Amino acid sequence: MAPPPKFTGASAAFGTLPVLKEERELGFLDHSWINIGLAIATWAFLLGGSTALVVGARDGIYAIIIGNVIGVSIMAVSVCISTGKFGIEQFTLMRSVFGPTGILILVGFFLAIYGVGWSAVLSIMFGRAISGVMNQVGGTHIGENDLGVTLFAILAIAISWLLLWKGPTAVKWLNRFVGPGKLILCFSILFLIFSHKSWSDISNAAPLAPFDDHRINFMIAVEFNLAAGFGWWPVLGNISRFTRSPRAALWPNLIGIFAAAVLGELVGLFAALSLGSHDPTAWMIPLGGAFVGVTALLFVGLANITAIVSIFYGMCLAMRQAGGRYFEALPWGVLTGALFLPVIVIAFFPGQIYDNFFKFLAWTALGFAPLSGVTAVDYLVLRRGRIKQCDVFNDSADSDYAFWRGINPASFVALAGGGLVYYALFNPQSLAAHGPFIWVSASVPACVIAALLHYVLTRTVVMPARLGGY
Amino acid sequence: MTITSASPDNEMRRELNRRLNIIADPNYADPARTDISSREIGIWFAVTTFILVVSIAMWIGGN
Repeated sequence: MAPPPKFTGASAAFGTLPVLKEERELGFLDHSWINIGLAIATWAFLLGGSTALVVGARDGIYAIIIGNVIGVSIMAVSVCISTGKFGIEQFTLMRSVFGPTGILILVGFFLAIYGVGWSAVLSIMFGRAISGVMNQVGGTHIGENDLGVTLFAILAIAISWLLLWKGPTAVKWLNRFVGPGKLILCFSILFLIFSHKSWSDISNAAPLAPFDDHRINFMIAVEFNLAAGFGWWPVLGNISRFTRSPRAALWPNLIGIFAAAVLGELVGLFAALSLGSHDPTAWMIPLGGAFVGVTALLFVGLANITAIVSIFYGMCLAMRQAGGRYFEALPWGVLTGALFLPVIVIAFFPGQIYDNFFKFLAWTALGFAPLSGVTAVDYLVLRRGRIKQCDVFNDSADSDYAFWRGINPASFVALAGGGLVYYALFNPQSLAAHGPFIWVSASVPACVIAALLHYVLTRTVVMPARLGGY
Repeated sequence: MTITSASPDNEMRRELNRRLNIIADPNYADPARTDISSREIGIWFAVTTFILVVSIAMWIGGN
């Protein structure tokens, strides 16, 4: 048998090709560990802290479990089964749902907002963490929204860009320390909290900034956590495509993402309620004292750099692939650098962005809940697991997935419909709740309506036109 | 260079074609490419629904 041709191209670094059997490296346990490392991150502390804004410990525990289990169960089915089976990069595979031009629009608009927003939040968190270190060690007096925070945030962006440009593999090396370190940090915070406070202190602590209505507070907390669960949509498909079996693609999301995220968020919830602040960078020194606190803050800073690189790597990969010939002339360093520019601009408004993190979270749910519904119904119900692999890589009009000028309007109308339902029930900007929100949340109806719309429009418009390869 | 490059002779396109040919071979066996069963998806939703229902019941019970 002849050896396969030597493949030396850039895709070795950019890895968007369909994976072969021998390249599937993730069994059940490996996939679970990767998901645990992803879920227990500084963002879990932020989410737990945001939950503490509206509910106390007891309601918070249930809100975190309920929101995450619904979000993760739907999101995992919508992306991990298909990418696990075909081994194709998630946004390339999604051409079968949105069309090649459609996925470019989706990636260029929605994913960019998501990546830029999260990176801004994490870089500002880095800025506040390092400012805390400087205040403690160097005797400075940098306020939480001062220019110093912005300058450190820009430093985080610069380091992230250099890592992304010169060697994303360095992040894999860093993650060997950061991954276990996050688990240690999690349990250390729990230990320190319960060595200072009793359970009754924590369970009796009032939420930090609740609304008047107890039921609305609880459902807003559930909604934040639904957003967290659905928010994994752009991330997990590109991991599960390396799994060795359908079972290994699906179940580690429950063990890894759901269980680990719940643990990380509970730590955030308890810490925020104990210390009266939803900002994780404000917890470390009061909890651990100068030495432990400074060490923890430095670690939070490092963990945020690896998180920013991970988010941006996936986003740039998706943009480069979705952009096709439009983006191929752009050098990798220029593409990544261009995407970091808006993050730098946003870093000049640390208070408005970081302290309103929960609003950003709600806005992302407005997009990801309908996306999860549309992609789940498209793959599992309409296609019954069948996708023409050659055609997802085919840009020409004879591709099954060319739809109308490269766009599937049915999926976009469904997304818009789901988004409108979300907005009608829950305003992500003002957090004003309407109608049956207190019973059904906003993400769940948005997901269901988008799925139904996509199903009906595909059956009545796309399939009769003999488009989409259904 | 990307897979969707306009250039017909690009390295990624050649590698992509090689991989698609391997995958299309009827003798190619990859356990990951088997369809997940409806039963497995049913169990998945049964487990997550169980977690959900127990959590809601405990929350209601506590109020």
